[in-house]
Amino acid sequence: MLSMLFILGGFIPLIYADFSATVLTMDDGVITGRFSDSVLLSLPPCDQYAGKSVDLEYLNVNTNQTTTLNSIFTVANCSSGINTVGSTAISRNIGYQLKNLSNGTQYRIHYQIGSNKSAPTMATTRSVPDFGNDLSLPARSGAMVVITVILSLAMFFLLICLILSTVMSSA
Amino acid sequence: MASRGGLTWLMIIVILCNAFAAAAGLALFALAIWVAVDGYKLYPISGVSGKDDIFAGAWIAIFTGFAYFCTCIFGIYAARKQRRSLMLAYLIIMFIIFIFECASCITAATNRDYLVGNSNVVKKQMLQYYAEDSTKGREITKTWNKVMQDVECCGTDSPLDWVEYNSTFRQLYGTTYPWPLNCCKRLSSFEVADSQGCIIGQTSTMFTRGCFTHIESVLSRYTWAVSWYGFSVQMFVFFMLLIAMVYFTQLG
Repeated sequence: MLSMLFILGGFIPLIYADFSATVLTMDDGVITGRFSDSVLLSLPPCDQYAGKSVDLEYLNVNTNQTTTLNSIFTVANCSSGINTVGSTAISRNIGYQLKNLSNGTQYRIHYQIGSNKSAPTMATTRSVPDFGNDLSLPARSGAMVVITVILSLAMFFLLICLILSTVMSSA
Repeated sequence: MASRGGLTWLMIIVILCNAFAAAAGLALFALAIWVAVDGYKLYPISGVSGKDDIFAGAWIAIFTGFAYFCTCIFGIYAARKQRRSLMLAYLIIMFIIFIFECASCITAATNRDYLVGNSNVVKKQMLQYYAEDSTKGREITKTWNKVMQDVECCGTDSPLDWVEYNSTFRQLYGTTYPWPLNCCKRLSSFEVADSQGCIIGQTSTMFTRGCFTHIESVLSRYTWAVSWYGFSVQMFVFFMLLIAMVYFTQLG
């Protein structure tokens, strides 16, 4: 009986989490979904939630602070695909850009549509370090080694032969 | 002491080799001019880093190539005259030119390794100097703008270089523009095709590959012209000088 309850209890999150807000990647048609102060999130499935208003809640894992954004956008119909007008990711139907984040921080993000809550997703904003503090010397190419060794030997050999031929012909 | 017939044959061989070396020297002269002219306009990338010896090697090769041409013609004359003093002068001058050309080959190959052995130097330069308001900054900005537009690329390894690392561009323009607008596709009227899509990062509106492949291939092409062709001329001249020394010792 107890084990049955445990198994059923394990399914409870799945009752609510039938979709998730994932961070966009190159496969979704953008260079990256992770910036230093924002993340690009995927939209809720249009077949189930078209026309519904979406809220978003995110938790800053470091400071344990939760922020809720209400009615950030309305899910578009499935017939409207990605377009090239509009100045934001949401108006182009690519995704939702969650802004005003801190860099190098991990967030736990989920959508809330009515009573439906998406599976939470973890997203980390980029920390933006300086580049090149530990530049390593690139490996030497084979060409450089060959040219240097052979030409140095050739120079040395020619010098010896020149001296010898001068001495021999004057003797 | 070789017979008269043997000496004549040796003289003919020396003359023919010198004629070939004169032509090879002239070709080296022309090739080095091509490198020094820098048709791809990538000199600032090596100049700003202070390691511009690929081009210094090209300048040396211009002079040694032409010097090989002139000295080999003198060598033909000296071999024909069969005079020891002339042959000795020819050998000494050729040896001096040989040393300079060695320096050119070695320095060009070494500097290429430093600059484009991996993308670190070029990336650091791009992040530090692009959009900076200094002489070096203006040169690098102009070079990168040209490369990004002509080759249709963005960033060193990819556009992510602009987003992952701190840069002068980021300090100046904040996060409104994640990457320069030169990364965006343009219409034939040179206007940006879709600037908002480019700022969001839509892959259909901007260039997604890095520019390092192009920069590396151009600088390698320059280096192989100076160092490998110079090396092959050196090898030919090496064996020719050995034969000329034998001829010199056989002269009465």
